Amino acid sequence: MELKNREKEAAAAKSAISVRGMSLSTFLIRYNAIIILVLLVVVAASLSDLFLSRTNIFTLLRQQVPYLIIGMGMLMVVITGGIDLSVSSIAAVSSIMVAYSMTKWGLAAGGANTWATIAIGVGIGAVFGAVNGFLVAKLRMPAFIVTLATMYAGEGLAYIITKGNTLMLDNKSGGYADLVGFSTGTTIFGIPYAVIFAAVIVIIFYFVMKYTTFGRMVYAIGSNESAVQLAGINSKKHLFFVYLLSGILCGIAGVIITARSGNASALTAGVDYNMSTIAGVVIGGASLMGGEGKVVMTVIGVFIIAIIGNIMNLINLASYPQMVVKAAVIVLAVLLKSLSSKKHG
Amino acid sequence: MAESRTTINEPAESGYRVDMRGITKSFEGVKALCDVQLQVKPGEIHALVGENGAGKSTLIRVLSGVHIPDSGEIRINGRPVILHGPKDGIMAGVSVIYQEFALVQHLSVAENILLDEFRDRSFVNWKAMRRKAKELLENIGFGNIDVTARVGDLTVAYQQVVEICKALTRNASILVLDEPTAVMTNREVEQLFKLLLNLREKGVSIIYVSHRLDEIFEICDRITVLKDGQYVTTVDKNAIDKNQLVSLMIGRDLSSFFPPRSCEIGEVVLTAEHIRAGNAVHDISFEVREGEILGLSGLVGAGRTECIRAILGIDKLDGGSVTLCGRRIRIGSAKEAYKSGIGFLPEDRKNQGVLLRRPIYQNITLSCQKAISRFGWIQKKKEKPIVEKYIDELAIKLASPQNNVESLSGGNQQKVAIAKMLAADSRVLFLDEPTRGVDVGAKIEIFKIINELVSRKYAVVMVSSEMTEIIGMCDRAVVIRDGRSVGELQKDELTELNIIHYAMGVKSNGTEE
Repeated sequence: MELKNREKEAAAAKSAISVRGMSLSTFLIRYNAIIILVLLVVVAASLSDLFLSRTNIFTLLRQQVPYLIIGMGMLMVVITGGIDLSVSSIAAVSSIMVAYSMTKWGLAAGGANTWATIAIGVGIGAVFGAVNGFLVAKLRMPAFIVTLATMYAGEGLAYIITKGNTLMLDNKSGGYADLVGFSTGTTIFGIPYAVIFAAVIVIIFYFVMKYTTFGRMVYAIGSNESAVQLAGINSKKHLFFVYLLSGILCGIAGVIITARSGNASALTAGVDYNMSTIAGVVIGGASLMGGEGKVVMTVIGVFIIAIIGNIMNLINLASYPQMVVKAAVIVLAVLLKSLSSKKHG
Repeated sequence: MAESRTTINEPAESGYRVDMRGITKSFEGVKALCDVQLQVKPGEIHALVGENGAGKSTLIRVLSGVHIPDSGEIRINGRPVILHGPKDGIMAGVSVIYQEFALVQHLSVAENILLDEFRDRSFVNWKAMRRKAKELLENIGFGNIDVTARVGDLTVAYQQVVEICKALTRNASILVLDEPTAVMTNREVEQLFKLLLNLREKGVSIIYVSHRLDEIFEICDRITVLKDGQYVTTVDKNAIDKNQLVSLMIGRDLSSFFPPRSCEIGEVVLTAEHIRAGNAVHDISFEVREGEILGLSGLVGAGRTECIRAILGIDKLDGGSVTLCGRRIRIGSAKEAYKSGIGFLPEDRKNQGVLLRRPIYQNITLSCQKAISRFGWIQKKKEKPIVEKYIDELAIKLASPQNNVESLSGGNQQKVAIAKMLAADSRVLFLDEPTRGVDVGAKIEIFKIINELVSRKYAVVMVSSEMTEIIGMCDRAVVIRDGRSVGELQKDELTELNIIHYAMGVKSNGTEE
């Protein structure tokens, strides 16, 4: 009994602090990702002079373009309380179809042809997203199973289309110049086009999630879907669009992946886009139970994962140990989150 | 462990196995139980009766250790016990069989019965387990139940038998059954009664909670009546008849609790005829007029909520027709209901009424997204006046509309849910238990809001399990029993006696209809 009273008093004291403004502990818990990011930058800079060099920073940013774009879709899906495991596979098939349409269908002349290949890549993403959305939203299947299945099917398709080979773009074609030119091109201060493009997408999503009815419904559905439905809202439609958008974003990422390297292979399906974006979203404070998550914090989460990788590269850690370290960091971040959410109900 | 159990099972000198006195329990300032007592003898079937909200469930939860009483004494076999949790209750020999069974549906009968006993063993001796389960079932006269059958495949009555058998393996000497026959057929009820009588012979004390008066008179020895969280009396069943029992359960003074209202009742707005849906709704008809509050009364589980949900297209409507302003309509979803100007306040506020973890202002405008946006972009200058209007009109007490709804009290949460419904410009309102889980002060405020709405020509259909609420608020009430509308009561006929007679199917002469 005594103990309970003490607990109550402690709780009352806590709420008294937070009434006046955000207490330090609340800040630490809510925005721990920012602190982790700052610490990582400090660590990275002290480990290697190269880290803060212009080249390294732009390389880092450029590498993160597909992660950021896919991460926005993942964030939305996670906010609704779902998950999208199929992102790597969708991006792979999209990337492959861009290369395939240029090498096998002759859409390599540049200009309008390039736009057509982009449309094909993005369209592939949309088809996958629509399938996910239909199964999850309309047929009420668990997102985990649905996207696990499309992940598997997508990877299979990627190998079927490429027959296991790498599709190389003809580096003298107009299409190659268009795509790779976009990917490697830079603008003022040497900022890559691709990075600006990703930033624009992030900014659009920031506003969509904050200032549109759609964004608000995404949060509402994740918070309590049956209440949303009973309030006279077609939650299924919104949920469908969330998965559709996630697919489209993966399609866009697929185009950029092909543009960056000038080739496409099924190995893209095995890249850690799903792992790293889910981790980024969660490290950024989103709850896998839905209803919570922020665009800016997701960007920070994605960069936390990226910088950890970057640091390990700078200190010449091999890639397999890197995976283990990354996994440990993710578990740690989620643990931190579950500990803090327990404290705060 | 075993020793302590045997001592517990010995009857006390006082002769009571369960002796609860002076039990008081409040929730957030609302008294659910006030100085309540309950005495049960060994080998007795003891009925616990009272209206919805009389405090029966709370008392059971206190006895089983789920709730810790604010004051009062519980003696089991004459020894005072302090129950800190359900585990303590089970240790003291109390087992509660709830309406929703705590059985694992996809495991076998044997596994369910002996779950506790076999859980801590590394390897399961299946043969021994089945043999033991069989023995236990035979002991209570149900050797015919296949111990290898999946529990989910059994009838409700047999599931109940399994549940009771499981309780007995934990040396339960006090068995509490909460509305055990609610979903049973007559044959199943017979089977259950056979078991209960058998257990009574063995000296088990049974507390039987039920609304079905005929069952109570058939099987119980004594009856304890609760009303509004207070103890009324304990009587021998032979010393009382049904009508006397009913008047013990009700008959409280209708306080000046309900704010007065004067408004003109207009034309019929919505008519529902012969509504049929699922297993719960068989034939329900009613109509509601402009400026009128129609009550849908009846016992919990009579099919009121299910009926509303079917009318609004949330669940499947299997038959019947709905007419709105003279036009026959078929509503396919809550969205369509809102489009045709029908609002709905669900009974389960936390899971269906509000978004607890979203800001208050977003909750209020949830159902009017079109009105606050342009091309999908939210216009603060459109949203703010709507939010302010309802906070002001419904007197929602809040620190800031930016706070999450979970920061509000129950009553204010409910007001947010009402605001959300009104913001969609609905003219016909379905309110399902609008005052559930709110304190008395907030109840009165909600009543005032409802009165204000009907004076503005809204049509209101209100489901309530509290008869005082129906009587105090409604212009007319339709009583529903077992999925059928069985009676309509005009304002001057609205008395607890009349409602309860329809709701329980008891005629004025005390016989079953």
